[in-house]
Order: sequence, then structure tokens, then C-alpha cells
Amino acid sequence: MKKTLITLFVATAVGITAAALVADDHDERNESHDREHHGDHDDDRGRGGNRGGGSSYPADAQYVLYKAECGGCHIAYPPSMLPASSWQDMMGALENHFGDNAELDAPTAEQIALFLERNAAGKGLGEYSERSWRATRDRRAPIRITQTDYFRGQHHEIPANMVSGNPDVGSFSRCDACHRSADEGDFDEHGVSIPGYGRWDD
Amino acid sequence: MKSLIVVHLLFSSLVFAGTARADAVDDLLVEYRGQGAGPFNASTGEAFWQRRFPSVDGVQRACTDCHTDDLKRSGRHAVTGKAIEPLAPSANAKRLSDRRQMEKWFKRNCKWTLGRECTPQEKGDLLFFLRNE
Repeated sequence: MKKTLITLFVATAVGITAAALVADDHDERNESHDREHHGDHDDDRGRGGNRGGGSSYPADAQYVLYKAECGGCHIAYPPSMLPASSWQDMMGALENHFGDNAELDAPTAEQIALFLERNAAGKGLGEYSERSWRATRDRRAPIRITQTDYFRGQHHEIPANMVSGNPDVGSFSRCDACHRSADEGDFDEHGVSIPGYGRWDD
Repeated sequence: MKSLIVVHLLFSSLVFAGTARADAVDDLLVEYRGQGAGPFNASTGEAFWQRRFPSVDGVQRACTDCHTDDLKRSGRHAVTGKAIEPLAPSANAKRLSDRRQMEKWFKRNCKWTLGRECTPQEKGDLLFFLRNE
């Protein structure tokens, strides 16, 4: 019953704000459902021209460490995609990291934890800090980026056969399978090419 | 004369490279012997490499699941699909040269594959096997 009500509310909200979304960036509940063509090209205030996790901190030693240690098995996800609480939970359970073991020696883990906390969603740094934070209900998010409100809002139109049913993709967690510049922190919709399907054109 | 210098330089660099790699492996072997392990055996290491282990969640895992049967080729992470550079030092000069990296991956991957840390004996045998690949 609750799910139906929520779905109805969301559908109504989307319908009402669809025409106004280009100009209006303030509606928290619906932010995650707009396509944000304008949002993809701007960045959080004061960071002029930076994108995602790559170019935002080019000389930051902690970023270099993060990319080396946390980009070995998957892309180094931009810290601004999760709130600090999610990063803390994740760093506290590396021996069971989504079913794998990602343990680090204590000094390295500490440096990375500091880096993630400093650049998490809501801290004003990084491409997704504001949008991700605004979309986060109750200010707590899961530790899995693909389950966050913001992510789901951005990807809800993608059919399963292009992702989980696509042998060249498999999971939404494999950002770089479709976002060809994900390694540089660029997740712009125009840079998307889904293996076997091509560009994503709305 | 020129070719002699070139040959000499080549030889020196090969020796140096070999020494650099041997240092990290030797350091670890010394440590393992200090922990009571040894003598080490490459064939034992290879058999261990191929074995399937029942891991923590009951899933059967082997090193080859990600690194493949051919160490000179790239592998793939079993879950994320990310490419893993060849493990054979002959195909990838970076391998077995950084002690900290080796210890990190031993810890993580033994725990994930075996459900426990590898013993010093097992690690020594593995190094004996891997460094000849």
C-alpha cells in the first residue's frame, strides 16, 4: 500500500515538474527524476570546470592513493556520489566489501577514509556533491551507489536488457562499461555508449 | 666497439632488473623462513595455484578464476569484470617487485579464495612458482 502511494506521488510529481525542471533546480524530491541536461554541464559552485573525481583533485596525494588502492578492481567511484556516513560504513567493513575482501593496512585505510569523508556528498566539493546530497532522503544512503536515490533517478529509464541482460555490461556498478570517460570522472549523458546498443539518446 | 657497449648495457640492465625483482621476493622468503616455513617448492606452489577451495560463503574458488590458467595473459575480476594485468613477471615487469603490494594481495585474495590467510609455507611455495613464470 505504502509503495503504491509513493509510486503515485512520484509519478504525479514528475508529471507536474516535467515542464518546469529546466528553470527550477530547487525541488528536492523531484531533482533525482529530471534529466538535468543543464546540470550535466555545470559544476558545483567555486570549482569551475572540474568534473567528478578525476580533475577535481589532480595533485591531491590522497586522491592518488584512493585511485591506486580503490581503482584496482573497479573504477575509483567519485566520493561525491555518497554521503560521509556511507563511506564510513564501507571503510569499516573492508573485509566484506560487497562479497569481496578489500582489506588495507591501517595507515592507508585512514588516509583514504579521510579523503572520502572530505569529498563526500554534501561537502561542497566534486561534481555530484550537491545533487546527490539533495536527493538523499533522511540524509542517510545505502553504501551501494547504484541504490542511492540520485543514481536510481538518473538511470530509471534504462531497460534491464541493456544492463543486467547485457553480457558486455552486467551491472550498473560497471560505470565505465557505458560511461566511456568514467575513469576521468566524466559521467555526462552525451558520453554514454552502451555496448551493443550505442549512444543513449532521449 | 659500439655494439659491445650496447651489449654490456643490456646485460647490466637485465641483471639489475632481475636483482630488483629478486629483492622483494627474497625479502618475503626470508621473513617466511623466519616464521618456520621452508624449504619451498615451485611444483607445490603450482598445484596450490590450480586448486579449488571452498571459501567462506561456500562458493568454490581458485586463483585461476580471476588470473586464468595462463599467467602471461590478462585476467578478469570475477565480479566486477575489471581487467587484471598478467601476473607472470616475464609478461609484466611490475609483478613481484613491490613487497607491500604482494602482501596486500596475498592477504585479500587468500582470504577471499581460501576463506583464510595463506600460511608462510603456502606463500613461499607460490612465490617459488610465480617468479619462474
